[in-house]
Amino acid sequence: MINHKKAVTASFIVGMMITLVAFVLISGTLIRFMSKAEGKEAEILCHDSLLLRSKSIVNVDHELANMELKLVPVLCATQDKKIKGTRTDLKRQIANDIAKCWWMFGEGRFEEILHGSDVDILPRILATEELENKCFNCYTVLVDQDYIEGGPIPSTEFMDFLATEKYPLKNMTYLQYLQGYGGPGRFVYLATEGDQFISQGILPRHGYSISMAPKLQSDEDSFWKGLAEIGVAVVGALVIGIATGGTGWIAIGSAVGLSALGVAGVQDLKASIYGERDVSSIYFDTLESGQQFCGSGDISGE
Amino acid sequence: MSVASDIIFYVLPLTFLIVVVILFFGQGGMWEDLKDTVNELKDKWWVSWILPRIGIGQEALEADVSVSEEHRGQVLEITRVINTMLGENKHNCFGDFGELSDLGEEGTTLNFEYRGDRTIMTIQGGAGGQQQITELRAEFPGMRPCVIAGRDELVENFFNYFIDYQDKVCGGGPCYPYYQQVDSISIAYRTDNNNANQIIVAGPGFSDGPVNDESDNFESHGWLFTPDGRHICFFPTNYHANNDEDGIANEWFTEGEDDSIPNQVNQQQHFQYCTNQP
Repeated sequence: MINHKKAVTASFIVGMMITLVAFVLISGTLIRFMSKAEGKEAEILCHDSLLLRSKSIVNVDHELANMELKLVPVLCATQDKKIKGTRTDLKRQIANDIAKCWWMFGEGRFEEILHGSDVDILPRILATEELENKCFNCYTVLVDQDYIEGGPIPSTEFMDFLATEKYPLKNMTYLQYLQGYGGPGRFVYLATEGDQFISQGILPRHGYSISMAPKLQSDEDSFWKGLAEIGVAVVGALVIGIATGGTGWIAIGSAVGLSALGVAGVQDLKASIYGERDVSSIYFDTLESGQQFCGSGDISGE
Repeated sequence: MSVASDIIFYVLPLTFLIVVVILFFGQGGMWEDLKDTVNELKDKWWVSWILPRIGIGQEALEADVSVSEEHRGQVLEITRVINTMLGENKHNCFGDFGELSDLGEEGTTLNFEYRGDRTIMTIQGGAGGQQQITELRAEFPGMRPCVIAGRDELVENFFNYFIDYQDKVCGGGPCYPYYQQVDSISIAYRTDNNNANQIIVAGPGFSDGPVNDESDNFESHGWLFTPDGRHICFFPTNYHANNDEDGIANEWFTEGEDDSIPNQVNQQQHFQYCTNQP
């Protein structure tokens, strides 16, 4: 009887060891596959890995310690895109990429999904420490043409497009999809004319970033609360800087007394917006700024 | 070399995976043993004290992008009334969208933004009042928002003609100016000063914040005015004077005053509702 129990225990331990070895090897295989995946494959892999990551988070709650363990790597990579076409084509392509970025990251359902575990397990595979502000550039988009019919696309026109045009995959407007299809969300148009509080339109031969910034758990003393307190409506869609040709959208600019929030200029304002999220957010920014404030590349580990 | 690397990186892990699946989920596999062992342990009294509580998976967040049916109905009524007031043949006439119920703290907000050749109405609501309710968004081609407030002289001119009916002073009509065009108007529930719906105006002569800082400043009970079928004016109100830069006194929008706007329009004394009839 005792011998039988010993045999069971030994086989159990061997089985567990095999499982752990297999887990490590399969993680490596997935990552290797990830590095070769492009376009649709990469988007699906990113989406599925984040879904699995959220579903497999282990919360350990004990008198002595609480911790959260994330056991599935983030298999996402920034995709570089060149777009061209008519005015409407350009807006549609960018809007579709924004929607896909939102989809890949669980449509706002998950908070702090890009944060690492409380305990480092396989840091080279599971960690996301290198991500600036724990946000991620899903896409970089280059407008690969010398001229846009009708001139540059002002931010207000693009925001109107998001508010009025339907996202074909969901049969609702892009803004409806971003704000509330899953969890609560926000879209912020952050591209500005350098360090001025002037919103930059979509220009030919310019690069832009589309970034996902998952909700943070703590929003104490957040920039967004402060903004609401000084009277700026914090809504599901915002424009940074004053747009030429009228605002039409809630615009955060120098005129609203940002000094009350301790924000000195555009870069300061962007740092606050990238760094503090009371809801999951999608940011559209110039390429330089997006790469400065958000992580890029392949974050599936080395 | 590539065959060897394929074996190392694909075949080997997959073989391990198959082995693990068989070990765990095969007939009489370890999965069932593991479940039995865990179930037995759960019955021991000391387990809950020694072992931590373990939860698997993150709770998914859900959004609430909606406004109450009451607010939805009122917004649709505002849209309808404004549309009846726009047009070339509308001159010094009124509209009434009815009482706007409390929009609520972090509740519903109505924004009117002028865009050069039109005005766009957007509605905020949902969780924390932070979502844009896109299905209630409306565009009013040709419209420019305006208010009867901003300067003493302007409000007095309006009051003298449309309430006091001094029709001889300026040749049978109101003295100019009697309305103030603006860039944007927001209507929201605010808790500074009194808790109430308040009107916030952006444009020449207006600072950030409500039109007046005394108390409820939007007690015009849904009345709107257009001088020309293009400008649609809202009425900020005040408590202490018949008319001043903060607007017209709120009593002139009730039936308690004989010459109030509701009485004049409903009894068709001098002024009328705007209609789409020629």
